[in-house]
Amino acid sequence: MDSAVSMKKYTPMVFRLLILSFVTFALHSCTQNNTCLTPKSVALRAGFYKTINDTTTQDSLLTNANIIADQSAQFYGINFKQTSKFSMTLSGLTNTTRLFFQSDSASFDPSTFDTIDVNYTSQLNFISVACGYENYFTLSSLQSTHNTIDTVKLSQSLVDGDVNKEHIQIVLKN
Amino acid sequence: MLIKNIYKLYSKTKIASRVAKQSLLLCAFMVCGFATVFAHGFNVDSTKSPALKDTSYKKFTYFRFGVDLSKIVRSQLAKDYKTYEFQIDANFSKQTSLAFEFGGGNSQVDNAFLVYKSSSVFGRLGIDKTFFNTEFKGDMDNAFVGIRLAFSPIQRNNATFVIKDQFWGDTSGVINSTRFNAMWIELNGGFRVELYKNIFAGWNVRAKTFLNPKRFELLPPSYLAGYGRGDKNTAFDFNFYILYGIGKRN
Repeated sequence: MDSAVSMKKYTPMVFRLLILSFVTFALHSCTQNNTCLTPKSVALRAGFYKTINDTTTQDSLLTNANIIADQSAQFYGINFKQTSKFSMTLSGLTNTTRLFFQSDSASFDPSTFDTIDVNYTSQLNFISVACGYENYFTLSSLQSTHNTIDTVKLSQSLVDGDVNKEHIQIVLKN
Repeated sequence: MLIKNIYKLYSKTKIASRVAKQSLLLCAFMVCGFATVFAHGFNVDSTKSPALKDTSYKKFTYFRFGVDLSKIVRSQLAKDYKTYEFQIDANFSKQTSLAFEFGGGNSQVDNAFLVYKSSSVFGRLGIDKTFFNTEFKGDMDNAFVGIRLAFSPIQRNNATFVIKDQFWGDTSGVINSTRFNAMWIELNGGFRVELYKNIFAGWNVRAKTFLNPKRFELLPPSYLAGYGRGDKNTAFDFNFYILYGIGKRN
């Protein structure tokens, strides 16, 4: 094989090869991403209900109520105005989260306060190398006082990233 | 009514014909584009076809040993991993060659949520098939496609994780170190050109997918040598090889 001929024949090919390599390499480099962009949406979701008859409940809009988490590192509370649903993250440091329910935020009468204890176990769920882990929770039981709350029901035990699940139904006294 | 139906049929046929024509043109355009990029050797000569049926072809007479330069460059540029990759191929038939690739690497993750190190080695075995006829005896410049089966033992050290929670406080813990294996398959395509006698250069692009993705759900290495990002079930990769060939060409 004559080297002069080879060089003449190969040079444009090498040039094309280098350009294509550069383009492909550049495109490949663009696919690398180590920033955490995944939203973390693991939260306990609950709804307030009132009893219609022995077997039926319906959504109960709360006009001015509070849910406040106990033992949180900083104040963690939700004020309800004309809503019946709420969501809260659970503590990964313990197996119980206590919530205070104040049916009327304007009143400090003890009969308007209730506590709800949510008992659970937590499991690690890997998200990605960039985001690390998050906790999933399996609810085991619920307890509450009964000043304004009639019953608390566990409707879905697994608290994961599914935002369409309602885990707890809180039925208020009529 | 009959005339209407015939007209409808005619219209449909006309549309179908137009679509078919456009598809053919598109295919022709793609083939032409491909042929332009890889124009070398696309010279179909019917007088050469008897040579392709030559039964005296000898397998495993010419071997090429190569190193992936792109991985060396990327290892220097990347902050969180180092990797290296080599290739050996040997002629198997006029249009196919067997390829064995191997390498290793290590990676580290050190962000607000995870801290750990991992290392891995890998081996890939597969076959490449060339596209074009050779122009002369011993011509090895060609484009190719191929398939690989890959295996990789992985060592992951203890990992420290933190789950950030502004309300309840951060949760942290340690995931124990482990050893496990990865298997994946790859489709690849690329190009080799002989720059000088017995010295070749060329690139590969690869699409890969794990055969055991479940194993990577707990905590994968951030970079798995030979594969790419360990937390992705499919990966794309690029290699730029420089190879040296020895042996006798058919």
